[in-house]
Amino acid sequence: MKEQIKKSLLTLCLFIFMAGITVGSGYYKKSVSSERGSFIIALPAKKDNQEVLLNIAEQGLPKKLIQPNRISISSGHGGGIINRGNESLWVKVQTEGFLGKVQLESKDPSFNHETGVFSRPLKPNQSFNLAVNLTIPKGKLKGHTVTEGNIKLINSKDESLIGNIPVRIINSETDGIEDSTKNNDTNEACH
Amino acid sequence: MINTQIMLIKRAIWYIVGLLLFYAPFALYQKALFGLVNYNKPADIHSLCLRMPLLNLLLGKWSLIVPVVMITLFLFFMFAIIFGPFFCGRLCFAGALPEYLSRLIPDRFKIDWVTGINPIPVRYGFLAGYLITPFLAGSIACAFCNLSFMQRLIDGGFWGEFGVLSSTNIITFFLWIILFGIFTKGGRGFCNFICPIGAVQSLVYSISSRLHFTYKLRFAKDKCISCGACVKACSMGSLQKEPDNSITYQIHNCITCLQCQAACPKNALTYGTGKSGWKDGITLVNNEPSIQESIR
Ligand code: SF4
Ligand code: SF4
Repeated sequence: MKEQIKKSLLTLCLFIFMAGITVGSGYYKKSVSSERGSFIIALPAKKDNQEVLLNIAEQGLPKKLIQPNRISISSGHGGGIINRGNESLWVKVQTEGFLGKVQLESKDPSFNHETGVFSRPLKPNQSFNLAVNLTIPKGKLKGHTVTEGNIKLINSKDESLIGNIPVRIINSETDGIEDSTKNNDTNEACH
Repeated sequence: MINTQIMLIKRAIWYIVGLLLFYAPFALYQKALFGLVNYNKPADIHSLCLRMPLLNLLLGKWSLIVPVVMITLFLFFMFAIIFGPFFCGRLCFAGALPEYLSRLIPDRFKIDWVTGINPIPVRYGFLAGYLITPFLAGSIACAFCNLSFMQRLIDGGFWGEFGVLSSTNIITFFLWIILFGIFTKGGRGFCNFICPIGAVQSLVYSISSRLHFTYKLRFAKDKCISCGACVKACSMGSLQKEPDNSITYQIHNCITCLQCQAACPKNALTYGTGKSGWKDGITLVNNEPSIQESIR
C-alpha cells in the first residue's frame, strides 16, 4: 500500500515536472524569439514599413554556437505580404544594402527565388509569404551596426516601388565604436 | 531473428511511404487532398501540420481549423481508434529515422531512459504543458517540431543546406536525433517524451483498445515462456520483464509497430480485434513463472 502511494506520488511529480519544463521551454522560446525578424506589409504601401531591428547579442546560446551569422527575416508561414488594394499586383522582390549572401524563399509555388518574381498576381485580400535569409561573413558580426538594408517590393509590370521594409541588424555586445559595414550594392534577388 | 529483420524492412518500406505521402517535394497526400477540396496552398509538411490543429482543437479554437486539416484530423482520429497509433507505428518518418539510426550504434553507448524514468507521466506531462503554454508564453508547436526539422533535412538533401536555424531548432535536432535518438536505447526518446501527436494517439488507443471491434496488440498468456525477446525488440520500452519473470505491457506508449510480434518465438503476441488478453486491458502482470517451468 505504502509502495503504491509512493509510486503514485512519483508519477504525479514527474507529470508536474514535465509540464513545468514544457511551459519553461515556451518562455525560453519567447526569450529567443528576436533571433528571427518578422514583418507584415500591406500593399500598395504609401510609406516605408516599420523597421525590422535585430540584435545579434540577443541570440540564444545554441544559435550563437552553431549559426550566429545566418539570419532570417520572414513574414511567417501564413502570408504577410497582403494586397489591400482593389487591383491585382504583380510582385517582384529585391534587396539592397545587405552584407554577404542574400537568399529569397517563399512557399508560394509561383515564386522564382533566383529572380525574386512571383509569376502569379497577388489578388486583392490575398497574401504571399516571403523569407529573406542572410548569411553575414562571420568576421563582420562585431560592429555595432552589423548590416542594414532594405527589402523592396516592386510592381513588376511598371517597376514602381509598392513597398519597402527597412532592416537593421545590430550587435549591442560590441562597444559601438566600430561602424556599420554597409554594402551599397543592390542585391538583385539572390546571390 | 529473421522475422525481426523482415519486420524492420517491412516497416522501413511503410515509413518511406509516409515520407512520400507527407513531405515535399512529394507530399502526395496533401496534393491529392488539396486538389479534391480546391485548396491553394503549397504542399509540404507545414500545410498539414497536426501540432497546431490539435492544439486549436483541444483549446476549442474551431474556427482556425481549415477543411483540409479537419479531414486530416478526422482520418487521424479514426485510424487511431480503429488501428491504434498507426501513424507512429507505420507512417511517421521523423519518428523512424532516429530509431533506425540508433540501430547502428552499439548498445553500450546508449542510455536506457525508460527503465529509470517512467515515460508515461513525462509523455502526458509534456502534452499538458503543450496545452498550457499558449496561455502563458505562446505556442511551442513549431518551435520544437521534429517533423518540421525532417522537412528541412529533405529540403537540404539530408547533408546539405538546413536553412536558417533558431536556437529551438538546434535544441530540437539535438534531442530528437542525438540525445533521445542515436544515444537512446530504442532510438525513440523523442517519441516517448516530447511528441504531442504520439501522446494524443496513445490516449485514444488506450480507450479504444477496450472495444471489441478495434485492432490492438493481443497477448496469449498461455503461450508466453517469458523469454523476453519482445522486451528486447520494443523500441518504446512498452514491454518490460519484471524480476519475477512477468512481462508488463504499457499501452500508453506502445506505437503498435509490431516488432514484438515478429520477435516472439511462440506467437504469444498478435495484432487483431477482440479481447486484448492483457490484464485490465492496460497492463499485464504475468506473474506465473510456473508457465516457463512447466514447459521445461
Ligand atoms: S509493445 Fe510491441 S507494438 Fe508496442 S511499441 Fe513495443 S514493439 Fe511496438
Ligand atoms: S510474449 Fe513472446 S517474446 Fe515476449 S516473453 Fe512471451 S514468449 Fe517471449
